[in-house]
Amino acid sequence: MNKKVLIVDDSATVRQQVRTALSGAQFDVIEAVDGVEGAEAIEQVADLAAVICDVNMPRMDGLEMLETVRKNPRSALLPIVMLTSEGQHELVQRAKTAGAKGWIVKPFKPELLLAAIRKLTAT
Amino acid sequence: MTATNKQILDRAVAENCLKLFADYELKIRAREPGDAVEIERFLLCGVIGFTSKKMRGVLALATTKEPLELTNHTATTHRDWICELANQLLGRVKNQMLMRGLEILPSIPIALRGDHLSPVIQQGLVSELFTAQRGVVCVWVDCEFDDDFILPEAGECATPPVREGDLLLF
Repeated sequence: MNKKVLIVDDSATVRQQVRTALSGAQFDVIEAVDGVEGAEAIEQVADLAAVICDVNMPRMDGLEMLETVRKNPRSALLPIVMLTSEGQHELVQRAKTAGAKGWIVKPFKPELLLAAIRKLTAT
Repeated sequence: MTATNKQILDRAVAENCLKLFADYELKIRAREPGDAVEIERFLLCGVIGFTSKKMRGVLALATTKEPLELTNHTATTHRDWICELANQLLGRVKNQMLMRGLEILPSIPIALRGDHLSPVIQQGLVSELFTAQRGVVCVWVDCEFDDDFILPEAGECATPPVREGDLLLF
């Protein structure tokens, strides 16, 4: 059975690029357009295997979403990888402290993203 | 001093624009005076604001249709893609400014359409025009600096930013 991966990004193009990178490799990709939708999806989809999340988004940014979902015991251990144009060390540290499992700076290499998601969702 | 700051910023934006499009496998080069002058209308302009303690401004990235189509192989809108490109370009500039000890905070990008879209040629507002095999890319920054502010030299950064395309797993 395919594993479910959520991509949270306000760019439809990036969401599509992630979908293309993962869909051929036995992942079903679910989309959310900002941190608010992303947090709702994490709450509602019980069998998510991983989340890929942008940082700068309207309504709720990715770091805020990360910190929010980590407070819920149900999603406390869900692998979350940040995918962003930001490379600032302080932001990376904030994500790491909040429990992110990875940080990728755009533009991403599809094979690297796929390898990371495979590693994080391996059972 | 402001002119020097602006020149540094303009150069960072131009260099990173070249790298950004190269990463999406579109070779662009700065237009030279001898290049044919073509009347081409920019299709869209991605606009993203930024602030920091000592400077504030807007980065604008305008292109004709072809560079957008050649760098985006999904079926999404040009509007979405120009915003994302502007966002990624500012991200690169931000990383470069971090090496100078300056943190800039980006806003959310928006797309702008209009007739005869181009920067106003005035003091301190320099646009960089690039040409691709097909189409044209133009980028410019409109920025204000505090009077007493001088951009620090790029130096050794104890904690350098993560580079574009890099992946860290924790």
